[in-house]
Amino acid sequence: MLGFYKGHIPIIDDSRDAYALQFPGKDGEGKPVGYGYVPRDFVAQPPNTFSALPSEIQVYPESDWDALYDEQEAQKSSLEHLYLQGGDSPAFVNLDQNGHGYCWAYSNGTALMLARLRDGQPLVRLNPHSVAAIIKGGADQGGWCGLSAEFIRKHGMAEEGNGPGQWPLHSRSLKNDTAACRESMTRYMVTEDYVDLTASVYDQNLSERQVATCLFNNLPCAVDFNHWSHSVCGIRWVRIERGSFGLLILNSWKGWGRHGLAVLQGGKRRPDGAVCTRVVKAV
Amino acid sequence: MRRAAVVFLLCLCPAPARAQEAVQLKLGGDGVKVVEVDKVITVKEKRTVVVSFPVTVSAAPLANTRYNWTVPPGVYAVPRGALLEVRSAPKGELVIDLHQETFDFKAGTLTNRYGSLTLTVGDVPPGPGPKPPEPKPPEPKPVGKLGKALIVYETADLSKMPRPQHAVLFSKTVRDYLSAKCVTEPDGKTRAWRIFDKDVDASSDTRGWADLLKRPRQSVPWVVLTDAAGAVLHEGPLPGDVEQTLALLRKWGE
Repeated sequence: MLGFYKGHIPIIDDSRDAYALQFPGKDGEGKPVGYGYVPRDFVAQPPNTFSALPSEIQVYPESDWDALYDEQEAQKSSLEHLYLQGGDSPAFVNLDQNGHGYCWAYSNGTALMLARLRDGQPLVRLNPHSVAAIIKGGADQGGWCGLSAEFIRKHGMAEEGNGPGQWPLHSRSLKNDTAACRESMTRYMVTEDYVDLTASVYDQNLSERQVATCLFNNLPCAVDFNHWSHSVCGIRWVRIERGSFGLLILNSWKGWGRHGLAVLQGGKRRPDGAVCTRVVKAV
Repeated sequence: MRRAAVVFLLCLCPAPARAQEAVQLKLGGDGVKVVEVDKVITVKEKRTVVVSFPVTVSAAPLANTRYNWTVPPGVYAVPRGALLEVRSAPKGELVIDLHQETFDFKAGTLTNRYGSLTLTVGDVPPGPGPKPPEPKPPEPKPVGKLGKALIVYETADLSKMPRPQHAVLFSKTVRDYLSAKCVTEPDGKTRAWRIFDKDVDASSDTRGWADLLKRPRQSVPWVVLTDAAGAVLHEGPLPGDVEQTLALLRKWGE
């Protein structure tokens, strides 16, 4: 039986495949969904690629998680609350990769939009297709979240749209890669280094506590999962019930979950790779 | 006629004053209650003070008695039997001791007696005494109306921040208040408040945030409030919790 977090956000535990989840109702269109995550190439991007090291994170001990979660609930101060505006109405429709294997760019695109929301910045719909298409030369190919993170740090991401300097929705055409677009992309960049939370290098438990700490501090994390072959955006470390925490994610599939949200529980919640968006440019 | 005159005269004479009776009054109502307040009572005590030298310290003179005077270091005194002449001493409190030895030749006994005197040299410092509370000058009403708000913090310090202050950065109550009171930006949708990391890159900003971010700060987290035109109303450390922050915002928001 499908469990729900707060009564309406589906929980994906070890007994359920995330890709089989469809939320009933008018949002569930049954459209094909895209993946795109491939494990990190450590030759191309060795450990400590990013200069802010995981060791710099002052990690909250697990014994603090209940109090931290309760405080966020009392203050309505988590990224979940910011995204759902304190209720059940999302501040923006979740991004949709439209069946292309670009999840590894969409996870960071979602993180960038959430960071801007957190800062109080104007709502701008970004287009992760601009990042993935440029990196892959227009090909529909997979990657990992660190690959798109590195590009976004150096070049930024385009706005979604058909106007000057924008990148059209779901387009992989490199005709859009113009000087005007590149100039506009620099407005949506990460200004402080990402934190490299790669589980392959560090102990998985430590990596999970680092992810939890980032999320308790409202720093969204792009997270990659081998079991899912997918990359999504982690937005909050949530208590499902006393003694059980899960990872609330915002997916890039239209009509999936509750406004794109679901909770990963148990073994499903442990990322195989993750980067944390800390500071984005002010525009 | 005579009767009338007598009556008239009686009327003109002032009536003898009646003894005034005290009227007992009572206080009542829901707003009346008994509370405990601090009552400060000053107790006076005598203190011996030496304001100039020489002074003498003396004991009752006894026959067959030796007087052994002891004075603190720094005191210059000349013993003269049952009398000690103190010629100088440092300011402050000092204790002079006497060991008195009396010999009874008949009984063949020695009796020891001890005495001590404390005195203060110099001015007597004023006693603590209750100070009446100084009347608080009325707080001047802030001039200006809240238009823009900027909160600056360091992302790397988030895990170390006191949680009540951490809550200020992300609390819905604070954000809702800012959204209600800050002006709308030219896009017609965004409210003029931001919560930024202190190192945020605002080089592409066209809404005036770069200037506010450049203002000197003594610490982080920090808050800057301006009116709609950008004139600074307040800048200083971010208050320690949501309630204090809201109180600060309301000074210019109401």
